[in-house]
Amino acid sequence: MTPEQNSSVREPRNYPEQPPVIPHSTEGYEVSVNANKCLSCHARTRVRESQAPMISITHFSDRDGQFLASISPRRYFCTQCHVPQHNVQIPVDNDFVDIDTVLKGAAPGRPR
Amino acid sequence: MTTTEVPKLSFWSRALSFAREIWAVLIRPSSIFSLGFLVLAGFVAGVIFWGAFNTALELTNTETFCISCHEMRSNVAEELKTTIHYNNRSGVRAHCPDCHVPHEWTHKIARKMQASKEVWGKLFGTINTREKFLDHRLELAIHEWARMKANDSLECRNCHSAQSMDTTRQSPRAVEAHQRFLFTGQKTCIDCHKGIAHHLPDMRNVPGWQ
Repeated sequence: MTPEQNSSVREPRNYPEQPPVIPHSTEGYEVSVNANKCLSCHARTRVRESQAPMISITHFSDRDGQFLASISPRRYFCTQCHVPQHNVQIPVDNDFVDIDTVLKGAAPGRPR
Repeated sequence: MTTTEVPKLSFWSRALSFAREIWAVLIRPSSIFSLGFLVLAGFVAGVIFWGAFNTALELTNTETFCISCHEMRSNVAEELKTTIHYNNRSGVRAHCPDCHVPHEWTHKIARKMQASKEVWGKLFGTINTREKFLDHRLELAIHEWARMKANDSLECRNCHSAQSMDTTRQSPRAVEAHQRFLFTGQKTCIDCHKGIAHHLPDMRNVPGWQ
């Protein structure tokens, strides 16, 4: 395995709903019932010291749409959606194009 | 039959009279050995005692000794194995005492004296099951955090010195954090780097954690 990408430079999302990928190494970060290392930088109260992006406000909502005081248990395990990146040679080509590219490809004058 | 019976002395009274004899010898100046011989013999005996003391001390300062107890072997030592301080690209390994025992003699002795409490814990089985260990993990961790906070993370700095850190070879995130908090002396290593060698206890109410 190649080392995790560790530039801390934020990657754009490929579609608006994509969970942002993690632009830094998370090796050895404990996320368990006892502790969440991610939150020690990304929690609301930790952002001043860490200058990291705060976890999305959507993560405070439980599945019934009730907003909680802090992160909802269903959002607690960060790496279920957010993943660190490795620079690898992909075995299968990916021909995904995002919506902006599709729209730009449309002929002028056609409906947007 | 009239024989004068010698009364049989008890063990303790014999021991007492023997101790008195020894004491009588000890408080009188020697009539056989010269002062020079006594000084030299005392010196040699001192060297032997000192060497033996430090050798024994060093024996208790090895990973083998630490994990000879199952409390350490099956809990904390097992957790260490997955971390970078045990397995890494350059093959340098930090053993238990590298982080948990000060390297300098005076502080080492102070720590070893504190550790007599751990012998007590071993004898009475304070953490002799996984469940008991987990119950005590927060308390044990708090002791270590407090110790490292008090000595400015001395055991970290035995290897990782701020002066030798080449920030151009660190990730931008690490540079930022070290420049703001480490180099200015605002924080010490253990303030941010908790749980790097063992699993964490319940971190609620620990400053900087959720």
